[in-house]
Amino acid sequence: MKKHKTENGDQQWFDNQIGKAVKRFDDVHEPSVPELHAFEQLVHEHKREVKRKLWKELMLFWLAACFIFGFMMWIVDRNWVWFAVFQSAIAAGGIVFAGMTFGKRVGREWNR
Amino acid sequence: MTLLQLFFATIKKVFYTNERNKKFNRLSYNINNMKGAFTLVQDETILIKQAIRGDSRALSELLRQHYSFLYQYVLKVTMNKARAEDVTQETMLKAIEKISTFQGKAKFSTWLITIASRLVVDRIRRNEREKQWLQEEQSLRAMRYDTLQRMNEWPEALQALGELHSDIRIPVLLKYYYGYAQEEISTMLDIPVGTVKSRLHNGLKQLRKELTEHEEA
Repeated sequence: MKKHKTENGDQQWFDNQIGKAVKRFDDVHEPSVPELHAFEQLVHEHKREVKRKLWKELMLFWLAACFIFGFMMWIVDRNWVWFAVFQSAIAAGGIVFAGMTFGKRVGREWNR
Repeated sequence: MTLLQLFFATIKKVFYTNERNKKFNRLSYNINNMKGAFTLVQDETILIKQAIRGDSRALSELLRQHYSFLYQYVLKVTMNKARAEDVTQETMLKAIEKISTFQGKAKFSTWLITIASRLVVDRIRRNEREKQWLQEEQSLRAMRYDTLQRMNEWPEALQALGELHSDIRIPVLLKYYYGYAQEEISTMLDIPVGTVKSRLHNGLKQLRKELTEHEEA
């Protein structure tokens, strides 16, 4: 109850001392909103850019995958032990990379 | 019934009719207002659904509707016009990329200011502390000059708010100016509720101190 009262008091103090000035600040800094077609252009261009980037990344992924697969096939043909060593090293690297990336991205979700 | 009684009865009747009309007018005004607000919310919901499905025009309309709100929020948070314009644009680009992941649990405006706040925090982290302080001082001075020209004054309240570090200013504005709950701010800024509470406490304490010092001087 006391906490609730304090919160209300804080809110009232802010409204009286700061809120009005901030409201006036907002009013005098009202930006001029661009026309709809400017936003449409922005959306269109950015979507195209994102799509282009996605295709580029996909191409790089397939190239890398083909290279690694070819290399592994070559190793299997030559030496089984080296194949096992490479497989383990790549698996360990992948796990570490996925862990770091996932760990970083947990808080970066903007899907509310 | 005397003539006088008849006169008072007529006055009373006219008065009550006027009162009833006024009440009725007020009621229809409120209903119309509610209808307007409901239509706006409904329009926004439809636009959001269309935008999530990939409709560029709906997304453009949504961004246009929230442009002012977003810019004004970022301007208060950064107290720097150039940076506010950059962050507003960056936020819109992020929104274009991520619109398909928007679930509509929060309002669209809340989603936008969540993105903007995190972009501002990321920028602060990227900058060196010392350089950041110098930049904030310079931008606050420029903002003061600009506001002075438009408002003819620079209230002490704005100076005090501008002197808060952005890490503290963001939760203070979100809580006391925009009315978000501490839990919501915690989710928006991706920080624990305890941190939000302490930042709010420190922020208000600093604001009170600045304003009291000014009054005493």
